[in-house]
Amino acid sequence: MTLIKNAMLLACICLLFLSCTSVAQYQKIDESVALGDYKGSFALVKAAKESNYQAKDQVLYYLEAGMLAHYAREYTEASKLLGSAEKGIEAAFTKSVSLEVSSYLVNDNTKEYPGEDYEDIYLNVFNSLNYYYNGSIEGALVEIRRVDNKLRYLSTKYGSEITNAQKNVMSKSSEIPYDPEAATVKFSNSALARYLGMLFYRGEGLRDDARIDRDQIKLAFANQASIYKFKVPTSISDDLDIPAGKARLNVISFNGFSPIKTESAVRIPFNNKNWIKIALPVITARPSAITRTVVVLSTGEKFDLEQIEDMGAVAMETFKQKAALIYFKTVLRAVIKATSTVALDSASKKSDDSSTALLLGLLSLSSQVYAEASEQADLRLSRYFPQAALVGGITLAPGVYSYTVNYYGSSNQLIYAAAFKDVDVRANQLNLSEAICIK
Amino acid sequence: MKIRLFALVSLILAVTLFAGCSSTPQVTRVASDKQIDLSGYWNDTDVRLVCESLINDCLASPRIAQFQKTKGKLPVFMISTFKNDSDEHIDTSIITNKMETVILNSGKADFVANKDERAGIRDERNDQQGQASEATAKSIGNETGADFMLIGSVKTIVDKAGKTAVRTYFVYAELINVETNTKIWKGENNEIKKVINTPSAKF
Repeated sequence: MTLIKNAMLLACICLLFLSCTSVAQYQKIDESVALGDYKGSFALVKAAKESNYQAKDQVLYYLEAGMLAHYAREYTEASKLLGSAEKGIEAAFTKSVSLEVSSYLVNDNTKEYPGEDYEDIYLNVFNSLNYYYNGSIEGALVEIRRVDNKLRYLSTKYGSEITNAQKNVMSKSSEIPYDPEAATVKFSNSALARYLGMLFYRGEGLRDDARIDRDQIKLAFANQASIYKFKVPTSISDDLDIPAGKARLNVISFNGFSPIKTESAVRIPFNNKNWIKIALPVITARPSAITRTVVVLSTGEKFDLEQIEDMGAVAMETFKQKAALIYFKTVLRAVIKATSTVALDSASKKSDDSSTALLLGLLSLSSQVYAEASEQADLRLSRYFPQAALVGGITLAPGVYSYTVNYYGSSNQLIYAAAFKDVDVRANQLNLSEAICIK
Repeated sequence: MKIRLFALVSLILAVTLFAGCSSTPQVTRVASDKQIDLSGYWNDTDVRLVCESLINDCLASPRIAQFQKTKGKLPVFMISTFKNDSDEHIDTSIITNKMETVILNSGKADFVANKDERAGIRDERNDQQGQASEATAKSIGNETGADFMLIGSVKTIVDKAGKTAVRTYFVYAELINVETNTKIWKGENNEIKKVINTPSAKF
């Protein structure tokens, strides 16, 4: 009997660690990113492809490697990787039946990582920059159009899935609280994507299209006040008003670490004596040390970069629909697990044979331990998207300029400076510089 | 007997297990005009359908025929930008190259090299002035000016809800008189419309 007990405990422990993704695997890469060594971070991620990413985590790999390749200015590679991530996300829409079944028995970590909606949106934003740096504004605009299509699709993406999941849960237990408002996404227009669209159209000489996107930036702020809690960047009013013979220098900066998922576990009483554990992923912001970003030109001119997108807020908002689905599924799974525990417990009590009763009792205990141990939230989320996007611009006489983008902390201390040397700022073309400070 | 039966069952299982496995990819040759839609995105069938319709439309244009009658020579076309205004990375040079090939081979128009090609040819001609023999060096200033410029664009409209997406492609092409900016011909193809149903489960 001791042997059986030990075997069951071992099985439970194995299941506990079966689908865990180690946070330690990211430590070195995170440190490298925080130091601004993006080439080194990209190399680390590539080297860890086989060891850190299972086949079901390929989308995660492509997203993380793609973003780091972008920061490392390896735009062709970044474009390929983010393109692969996008294809993987599309393919993951069709779910594997076997993995889906196992996710109902164990947890969501057993499933293929399908990417989050905000990752699917912003990968196109960064890919548009990849195309721009590779000399294709036309390609950059294709990516911006893809963002627009995805945002329009977002509100209908999950269709009846949420309603069906809700019905399923309610049929099993009426004690589960749920707020239907929480599953409504209020994000359908990205000011950052519109800003890039405005610049790319202007670069192509399509002033009317540029004006439409400039107006859309204002609409994004006006209609989505819960996401855009800051003012419309003042610099956009000058972006389409460049005097003849002058050049416009635009600077975009990506600041801070993107949010991560943390686990929120709750235990709900079930059938008087037992309980069900529900472990849900929650999008959690990672604080940034940067409070101000300033561009200083060698000529002495300077201007502040202003926030145009809180990507962390978008991550939280767009996760609402999926969170609702996860909630229903988690409850359903936990109820199934708890039901088997109750059934075994009940059978154990009814058994006349003491050995059988003991075995069933042990099985009941083990199933409770298993339910507790295996119920883990799926915390997979790419770690290297930025937290915020800031923009600014200055109209100059065409020429060669050097400038730095300075990042300051709360005590006005300089945290980091990104230097741009001898940049040829030309009239009648897009002059866009990108600075990164993931701190 | 039992051992033989066990061996037979094992063999059948092994054959079944590895039936679909092969270390080399399977290649099947198909007719180039066979319609194969895998993802729902722009593919060779779309190029063929669009080009056929635009080329036929262009070659049947009465204004182009009129030009030849009036001027007593074939019109000279040049290909300019064929913009990709869609939400897909479409190589529009396939469309323009196909149009150029068919129109040129129809004998109803001549083509001059496009802007990029001309730059390379001019480099070569300039190089010939110093490097080639006087008898073989080509003279400068003898290029043929194009009468018409072919421009175009591809746009997409995507409507998506749940598992279903509808992708409609709009392909435009037009010939513009280089001297007068008047448009001699304009073609449009919006016949490519696809309904893509993504399955929600796979085995």
